[in-house]
Amino acid sequence: MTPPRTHDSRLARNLFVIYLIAYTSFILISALAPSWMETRVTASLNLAVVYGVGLIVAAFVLAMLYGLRASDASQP
Amino acid sequence: MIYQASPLAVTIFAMVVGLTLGLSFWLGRKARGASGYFAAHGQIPWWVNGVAFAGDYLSAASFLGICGMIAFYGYDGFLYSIGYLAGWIVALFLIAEPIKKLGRFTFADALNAGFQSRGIQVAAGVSTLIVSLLYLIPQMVGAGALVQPLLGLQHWHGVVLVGTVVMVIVITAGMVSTTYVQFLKGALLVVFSLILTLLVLRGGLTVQQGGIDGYRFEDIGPIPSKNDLIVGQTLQTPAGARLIQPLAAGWDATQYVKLARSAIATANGTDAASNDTSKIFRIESDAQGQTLLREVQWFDRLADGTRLVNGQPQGTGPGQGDLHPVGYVESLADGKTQTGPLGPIGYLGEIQTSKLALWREQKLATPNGQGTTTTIYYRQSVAGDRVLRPGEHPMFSGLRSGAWTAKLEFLSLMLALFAGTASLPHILIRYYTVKDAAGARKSTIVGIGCIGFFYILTLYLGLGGMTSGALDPTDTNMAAPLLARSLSPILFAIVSAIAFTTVLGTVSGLILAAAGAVAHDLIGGAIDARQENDSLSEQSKIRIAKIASVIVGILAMGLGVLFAKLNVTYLVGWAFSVAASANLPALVMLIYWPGTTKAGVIAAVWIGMLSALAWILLSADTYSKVYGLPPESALVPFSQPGLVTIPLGFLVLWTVSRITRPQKPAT
Repeated sequence: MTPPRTHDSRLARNLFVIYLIAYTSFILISALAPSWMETRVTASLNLAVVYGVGLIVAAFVLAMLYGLRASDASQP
Repeated sequence: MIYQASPLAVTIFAMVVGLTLGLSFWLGRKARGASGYFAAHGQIPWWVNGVAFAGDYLSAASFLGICGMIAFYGYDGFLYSIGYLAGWIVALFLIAEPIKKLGRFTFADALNAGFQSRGIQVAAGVSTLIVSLLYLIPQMVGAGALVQPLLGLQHWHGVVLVGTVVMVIVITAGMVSTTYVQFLKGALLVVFSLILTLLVLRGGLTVQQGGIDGYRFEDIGPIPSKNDLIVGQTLQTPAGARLIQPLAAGWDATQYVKLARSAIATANGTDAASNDTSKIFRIESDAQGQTLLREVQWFDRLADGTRLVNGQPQGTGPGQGDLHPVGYVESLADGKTQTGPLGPIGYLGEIQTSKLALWREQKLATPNGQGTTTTIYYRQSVAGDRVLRPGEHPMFSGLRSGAWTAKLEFLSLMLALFAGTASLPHILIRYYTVKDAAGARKSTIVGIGCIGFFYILTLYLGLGGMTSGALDPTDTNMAAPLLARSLSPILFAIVSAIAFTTVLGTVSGLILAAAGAVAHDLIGGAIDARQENDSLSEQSKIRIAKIASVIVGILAMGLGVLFAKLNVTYLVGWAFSVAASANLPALVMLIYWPGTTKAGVIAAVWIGMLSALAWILLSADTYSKVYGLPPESALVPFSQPGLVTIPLGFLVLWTVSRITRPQKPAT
């Protein structure tokens, strides 16, 4: 059943763990230290906005990274 | 609020819906056989499939529910956007390629690939059916919410309209047409959300004292003392001396005061104004401890069904009244009255330093008089930096109170969103419409791009709604269409039509997933099992799927009417929790743990599904919103099951697999 442990699936799992850590930190900060979310990161934006939008952007960046690497790997 | 249809809106609506459907049928006309019907022959190009993912996934809940929640409560709605998108990371990195390699039509195929077990087929089929039905309810509720302002119809008309159109799509065409409906709708939704966002940014922020109907809500004060508010006496206001009138039964006289709408003619003549209509004010204390009176709106529903708004019959004629639209900026930083066009970062910065009028509702605790129910809508001035942080919505306010159940509730919801996406059957079947694993991977990446971009836009659409002056205080789901209406009536018609095709796209995907489960997994599997050599022919499998679509469609319509009043985002939470608890443990373990056994998969799916359902049915949310029972009497400590039932699914699978593992290692 287990797919062969190729470069692809190792990369996929590493990227997954990176995102999992980022997401888990986000929800733990929101739940346990919500006041941190009000910290201004830039002159006008707080951590909640920057981290939240950042998670969405990061998902796309990791996905693209994976897509490019995976298609490189499948080239003969 | 009362909505009136405009002929222009109806025409544009009909054109967009007709065009989408016509094009989809034209593109999907070549589907043949079961593989065409259920999986579009596996021939959908990956980029089409990627946009169709967006069309499938960005449901009415995303568009209407999240925008509405942000418009009324700010950042809390965006938490859903973040969670919904994060779920795609699970889909891309863990599920997409393996599931494509394992299955053919349904995700039960994938679970069953190594086992050929009837039990797995039934468990996965039932879980598909239940999750799809749960997810269908909010789509139907959203459809009903949409047609009210657009076509001036009743809620149930929209539900029946969507149900009927979708059944036609699914019966006549199957997966190819469904895919193209979703492709077009996904593309239109992202493009028009972008246009709306650009218009919101161009418009900037403007200070207002009321909504776009021009009505100005009255503030009185500071007044000397609360104790001066005695019924029958007068209160000096800027508009003159006003008679203090008695409140109806059920109103709390320490919180509200009722004043005559206009000043009395002379200081000592009290009879002249006694028949006048009234305003009710909420008594508030400001930061300096002074007492202020702020005008509220209220809505009475009498026992005989009569609706009164602010004491007058609801209507648009003389002597009638309707709720005033709400949602506006009360003040901006540095005393500005308007900002002019803003950039995406500047917009958020201005919101952060502004003060916003948000409207909250309060239902009177005891139905007063002869079965009258009253809902009060009152203003709250909220600082912008409170709007852009988690914890403003009642559901999330516990984050700041320190109650551990509220924190667990939040973690549980965010876990369910993260784990639920890759467990939704109507998303999983889309992996069978592309050619190979690379197609599955590429289309997921395109999907993440479209969906992520859209979710960033929801922040601006929601905040745009919050400051548009166009919100309906009774209905959070209407924020995005009403924002569009405040910008342009044509845009309103287009956005509503897109939202409607949004519902069509998602509902067709769901019904197809449910019908596939019935035809392929439940009935097809049963017949295959009984008659070894005479498996169900492709044609009769399709026929069963079509009959199942009609039954599921009718069921969904009924439930859509029944649950009309619930916020669609809340309902979607249920579907994600059940999907994640039932399906994710089985999928992930099957792919990544060689020790997984047949019995382990079956047990995990059943126990995950039933425990999540039971938890939801016994939760405080369901007690108060569905059964009408006091939420304190609920049997589980918090309402979202995911935190408990998802790990439970993994634990059950691991334990049962350990017990039932064959003595000889399987090869």
